[in-house]
Amino acid sequence: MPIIIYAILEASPVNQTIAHILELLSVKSGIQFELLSTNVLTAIISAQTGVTSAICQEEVLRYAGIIDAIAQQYSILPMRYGSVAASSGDVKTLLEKNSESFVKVLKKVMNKEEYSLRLMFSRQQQDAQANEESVAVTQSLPGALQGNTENKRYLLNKYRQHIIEENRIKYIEHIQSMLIHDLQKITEFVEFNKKVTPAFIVDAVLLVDRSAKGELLAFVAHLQSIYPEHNVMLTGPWAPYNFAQIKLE
Amino acid sequence: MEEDKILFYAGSANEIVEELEKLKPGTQGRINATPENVESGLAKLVLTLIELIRKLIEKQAMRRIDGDSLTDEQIENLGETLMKLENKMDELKKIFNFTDKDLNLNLGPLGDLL
Repeated sequence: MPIIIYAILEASPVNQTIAHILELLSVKSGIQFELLSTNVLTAIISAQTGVTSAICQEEVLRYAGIIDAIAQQYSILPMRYGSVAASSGDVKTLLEKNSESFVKVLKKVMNKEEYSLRLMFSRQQQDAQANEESVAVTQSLPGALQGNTENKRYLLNKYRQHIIEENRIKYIEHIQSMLIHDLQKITEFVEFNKKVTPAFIVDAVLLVDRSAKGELLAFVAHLQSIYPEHNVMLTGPWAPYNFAQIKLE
Repeated sequence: MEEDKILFYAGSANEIVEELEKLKPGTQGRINATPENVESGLAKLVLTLIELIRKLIEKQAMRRIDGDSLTDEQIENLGETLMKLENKMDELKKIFNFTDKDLNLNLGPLGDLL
C-alpha cells in the first residue's frame, strides 16, 4: 500500500513523546499516523487510502497543517505534498540511503523556525517615485536623444523606463545588502526569492532560532520605522521548507 | 493564510493581500500544449523566446545610449528598428490572441523569465 510521508526527524529523543501528539492529530484529522524508524531517523507516515486523481486544495492544506503542528514541537524536515513511497520498506530504504544528508540538514534546522519577511512598495509611493524619476531623467538626458523625431521620442520613452528600472534595482539591492548585514545578529540563514511582482522590494525567508523570535520581531518593527513608506509583513513560524532542500539518492 | 501566522504588518493590508494573491500559482507561465491546441502552445513558447531576445536587444541599446557614443544617424536607425520590432511583436500577439502576460515562463526558484 502506498505510504504518505509527512516529516523526518531524529529518532532518539522523540518516539515516546511524539506518539501522544500524533494521537491528537489523528483524532482531529481522521488519519492514522505511524512512526517508522531506523537507528538515527524517524519518518512520520500514514497509509494512503483511496485514489487521489487530482490535487485538492483542502488536502494540501490538511497536509501542511499536520506538518505545521509537528514543527511547532519538534525540529523536522518537512516533506512536500505528494511525498509518497510505494511501501514501508521503500521509506526505510529512503531513510537509510540518505541518512547522512538528512542528519546534516536536521542539524542545520535544529531548534530553528522559518519566517517570511516581505517588504513592498506601496502603490502611492510607486506612483510618486515614478513621477519624480521621470522628471529627473528628463533633466539629465543623453545629448543623442535631444530632438523631436518619432524615432527619438520612442527611444526617449524607452530610455526613461530603463533608467527608472535601473534605479529601482539599485534601491532593492541596497536594502537587501543592508538587511543581510543587520540580520547577521539574528541569523546567518537568509534567502531572497526573486522579485515576482514589481511591488516587491524584499521577499525573504529566514531560519531563526526559536529563542530569537523576540529579536526578530523587534528588528522588523525597527525596519518599519526606517521605511515607514513601505508595506511590511512578517509571517511564521513555518516548518523550514526553504532550508531543507535535499537531493535524494 | 491563517491569521495567527501574521506576526507583524504595517502599511496597507489591502495592497499586501493583492500582491500575495499575485504569487498564487496559476496557469500563467505554463506552456499548455495539448493535441487540440498544439499550434497555440508552440506559438506561445516561440513568441516568448522572441520577446526575451527583443528585450535583451532593447536593454543593450539603452546601455549604448547611456554610453553617449552613438551618432544622430545611429540613434534614428536604432529608434526605427526597435519601434518596428515592437510593432511586429504586437501584430504576432494579436494573431495568436496573446497578451503581454501570456508571454512569460515561470522558471521556479529563478523567478519569471520576463
